[in-house]
Amino acid sequence: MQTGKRGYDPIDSTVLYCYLFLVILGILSVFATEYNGAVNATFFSFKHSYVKQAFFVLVAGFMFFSILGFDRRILQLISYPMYGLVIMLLLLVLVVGKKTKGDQNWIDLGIFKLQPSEFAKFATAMALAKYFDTPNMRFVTRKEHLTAYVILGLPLLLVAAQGDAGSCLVFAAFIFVLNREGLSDLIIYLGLYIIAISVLSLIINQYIIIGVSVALFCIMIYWNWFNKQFVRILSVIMIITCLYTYSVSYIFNNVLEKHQRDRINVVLGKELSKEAKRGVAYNLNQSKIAIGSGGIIGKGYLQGTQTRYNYVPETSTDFIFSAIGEEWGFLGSLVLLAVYVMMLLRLLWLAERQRSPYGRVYIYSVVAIIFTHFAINIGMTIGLLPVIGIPLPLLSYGGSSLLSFTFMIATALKLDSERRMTMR
Amino acid sequence: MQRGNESGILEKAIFIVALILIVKLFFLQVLTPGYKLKAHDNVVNKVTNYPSRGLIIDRNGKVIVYNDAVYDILVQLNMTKDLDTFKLCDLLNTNVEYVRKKLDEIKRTTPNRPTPFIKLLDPQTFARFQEHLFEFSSFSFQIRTVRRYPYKGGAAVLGYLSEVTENNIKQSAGYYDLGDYMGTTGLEQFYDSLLRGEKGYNYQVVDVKNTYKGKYKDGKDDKIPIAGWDMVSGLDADLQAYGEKLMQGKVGGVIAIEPSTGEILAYVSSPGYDPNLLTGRYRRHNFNILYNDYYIPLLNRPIQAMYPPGSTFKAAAAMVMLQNQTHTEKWQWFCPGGYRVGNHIVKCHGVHGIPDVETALQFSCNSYFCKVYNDFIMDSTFSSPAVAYQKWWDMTSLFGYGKKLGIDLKGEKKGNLPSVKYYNTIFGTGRWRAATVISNSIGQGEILATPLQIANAMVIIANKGYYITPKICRYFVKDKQYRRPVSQKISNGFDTVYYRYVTDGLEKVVLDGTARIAKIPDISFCGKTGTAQNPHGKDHSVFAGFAPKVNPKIAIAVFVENAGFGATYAAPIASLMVEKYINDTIASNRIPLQERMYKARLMKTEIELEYQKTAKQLLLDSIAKIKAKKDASKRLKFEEDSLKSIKLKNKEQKDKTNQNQDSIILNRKEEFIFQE
Repeated sequence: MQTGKRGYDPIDSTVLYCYLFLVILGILSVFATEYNGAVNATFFSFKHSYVKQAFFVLVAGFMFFSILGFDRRILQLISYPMYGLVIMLLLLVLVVGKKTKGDQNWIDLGIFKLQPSEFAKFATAMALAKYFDTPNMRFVTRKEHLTAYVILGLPLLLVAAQGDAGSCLVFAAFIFVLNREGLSDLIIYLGLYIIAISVLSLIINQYIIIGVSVALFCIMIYWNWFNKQFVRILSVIMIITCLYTYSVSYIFNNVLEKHQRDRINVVLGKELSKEAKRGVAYNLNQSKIAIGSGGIIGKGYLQGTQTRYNYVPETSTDFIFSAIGEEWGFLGSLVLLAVYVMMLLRLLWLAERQRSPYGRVYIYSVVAIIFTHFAINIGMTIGLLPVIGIPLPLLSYGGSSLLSFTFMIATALKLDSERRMTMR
Repeated sequence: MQRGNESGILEKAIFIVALILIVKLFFLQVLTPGYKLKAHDNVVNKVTNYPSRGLIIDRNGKVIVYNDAVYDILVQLNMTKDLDTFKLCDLLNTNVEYVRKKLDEIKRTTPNRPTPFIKLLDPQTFARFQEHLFEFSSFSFQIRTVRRYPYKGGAAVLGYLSEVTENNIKQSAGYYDLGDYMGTTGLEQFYDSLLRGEKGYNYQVVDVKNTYKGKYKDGKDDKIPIAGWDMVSGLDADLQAYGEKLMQGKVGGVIAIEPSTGEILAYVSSPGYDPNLLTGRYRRHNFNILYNDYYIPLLNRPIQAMYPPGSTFKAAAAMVMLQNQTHTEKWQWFCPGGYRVGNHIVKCHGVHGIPDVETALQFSCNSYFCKVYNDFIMDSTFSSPAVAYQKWWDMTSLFGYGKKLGIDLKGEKKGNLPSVKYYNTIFGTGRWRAATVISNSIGQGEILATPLQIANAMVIIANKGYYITPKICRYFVKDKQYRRPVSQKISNGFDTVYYRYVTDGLEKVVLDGTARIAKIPDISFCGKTGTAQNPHGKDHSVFAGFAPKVNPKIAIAVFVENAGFGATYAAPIASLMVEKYINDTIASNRIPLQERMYKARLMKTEIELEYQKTAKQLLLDSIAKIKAKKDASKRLKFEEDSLKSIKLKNKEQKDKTNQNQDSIILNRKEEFIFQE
């Protein structure tokens, strides 16, 4: 911890402890899903994911302190180049990338499988912060808005091209950052409205929705007849709603891929094909069994049968929360959620005390990214959301993910500790 | 220098999402209790270890039923890749269709667990398959046992095992599971709970691919299987086999009882079948053939077939007369060759002069017993014939007629000894007399009895007044512990003095009466022939008796369906069995008799039966046709023709089948599949 010099504060210990807690719990959980009870010659072999994860933790620790050693100006300086590099990598992955489960999102580097999309989130946050840091930036003109959208939209389109729906959602979550910087709340409500309409029109007959919404809008327009502007907006929303509702089933059936449709159908509780029953639905059910069977206090560390004997798929990566829920129970899950929430809120608070737009926008972006990961990942393991391949930050097995989140948090802490250096 | 919306939506979103997640987790982990069980069911695999079923041993220590190892072939379908179906078929002796059908079925039900693919494979085929087992990595096996019967007989008494039904599972209070086998007939059924032992279990932890991962709770809940109790039965395996050989080609039942203990010595139901047919893989195939056979080999004749006892009933009738003092033993009655009842005459087989009770038994004089019965029922000391009949009924039933005797087999029939109430409803109260029901006196009419009851009536006479509940099982033994079935000594309360006259009479039957053919050198054999008239064709040949006269060792009843006089088949068979049991050999002068019994074929052959059926159908058809034409003369001619041709055909067939002598069931030997 650095103290003393003018302008330097010690790095924020709350976030640091949360970070350490999550990383340590992560490696313990990865170990629990893999360890088969025997201590033998291959115990420390790199074939085991827990050994690899331990290695990544070491690398991450090294990176953490290296970043703390950087000057914040260097970080600001490399924002755009890094963004450019990541965009290049994202393009590259489309060409030479390897596929896992239909998502073409990693490059094989021998021992390490690089997932550019993980780093893209970090780099985009930096680039966006850098953009908001430009002098006289007020985020009001059309040009400023457009530039911000391009910065976010470019990586979003590229990960969408990879078929990585989870990362797409993460980039979409940057809308929270833009909202913080002045984007109207209406946009977020509109987003929620669209999601609600989409879900409804998948469950209920679309003509019923169209009928009901037209009726509702007509009533509202009648009440506000003399507010011409409001009537205009309402009319536009009504027409868009009708068209959108009408097109949802088309998008659902023709744009989404079959496995994505199945995943959504499982959550909506719809009739499933035999294949989906044995695949997606079975996996989700096993995950729920794992978490549900944990009960209040859990089965105890290394005692989770569902996760240890591979009934739950991908326990070390996307479904690591199943292992935690099973072995640590409701109380353990509660502690984990509390730590995440604490870390996110603390980071938000740090963001607000930044003096430069760079620090604020950057840390805010980090919160948005981690929050999206956290919400989607846990939501999917307990059957609230469709299964979307997205890691639980700092816990899931995976070097790219761990390093990327370490970069994000270390940079955030670094920026925070030097916040007084900028006196603009 | 803050800008924008300071209190962001993000903070609220974090709180809301966290709350939603916590609520859902609370539901999942705290409020839904079913998940623990589901996780347990996923991981814990219950492996059943079957105990060896108890042996059945005969009275001389010979094993009649033992266990043999067979193998269930299991397949775990989700691990099956590139299956060489043709090789599999070749190794397992099955056809492609079966394999396809079975695999399809498993695919639909339990593809994730090892599931029986072929059940009860014989050791030879299994050995061949085992050599190639490594080529079929998703296949495994489990050892099961099947019953083996070295004597190839006694099917009716031993019974068979079959797969449990849903109902059995419910009744077994959780002991049986789907796919288990349990005793469903005979001794196997009656003593199932003792013979079966107790299943053992291993609880294994398995992963999603069903790979073994260790014992559940370190084997704390595991249970070692406990073997069943061995049964020592009263059966004499050699006598049983001999009886079955004598009865081959004939329909009927033989039952032999040791009077002093009530133990069943031999229990023959004919036609029988080799009990080995109903074990192993081809059980269903063979069962269907037996089930559909014209002669119903699955019928347990000694306790389930009810025949008119015929003249064997006269032994009890004589006792009833003496005990009731209707007449004394010296009383005589003139037999003119029949007994006249109204317009009807009950005929005798000959003119018997003036017999007393012993002579009447000796020559089976119908008119004597009709008179005795008439005098009993019409005795003026009773207020009405119905009251007298009730007394007669009471005394007769003391000989075991009309009630179940409590043998240790299920499905025992109680025969029929018609009650007063029955006649009251048929004829009207007070409107019937001795003459109306005169057939009862000679064991005909409505009276029906199982071979077991007839043998038991002889036991009572042999024991001079009591019988012991007939039992096949002597005792159960396991690890020097013993268990005995409950049996009771039941006395009938008749004066012992009267038995002398009846016994003497029965002895005379064999010495110089109707059953001279049954005379055994050196053994005083007491018995009674019977020729039971019945509505199903030719008379049944019946014989019941016991030997020796003093300290009787064996009481026996023999029924041969549609075989004519009692002395023709039943008496020789009974005497040969008694001789075999007591002397262990057959005297040389009686060997020809034995041979004649071996060779006698009274059953119709398959072709005869088929012909009989079609001819009957043809006859019916043409009658219907001709009736329409109302041409009576043509009809008669057709009937004559068809009958002639049937007779001709039958004769040809009989000649042919007489050469084929070894099989227990003649007709369908080729169709059975034996599993070695």
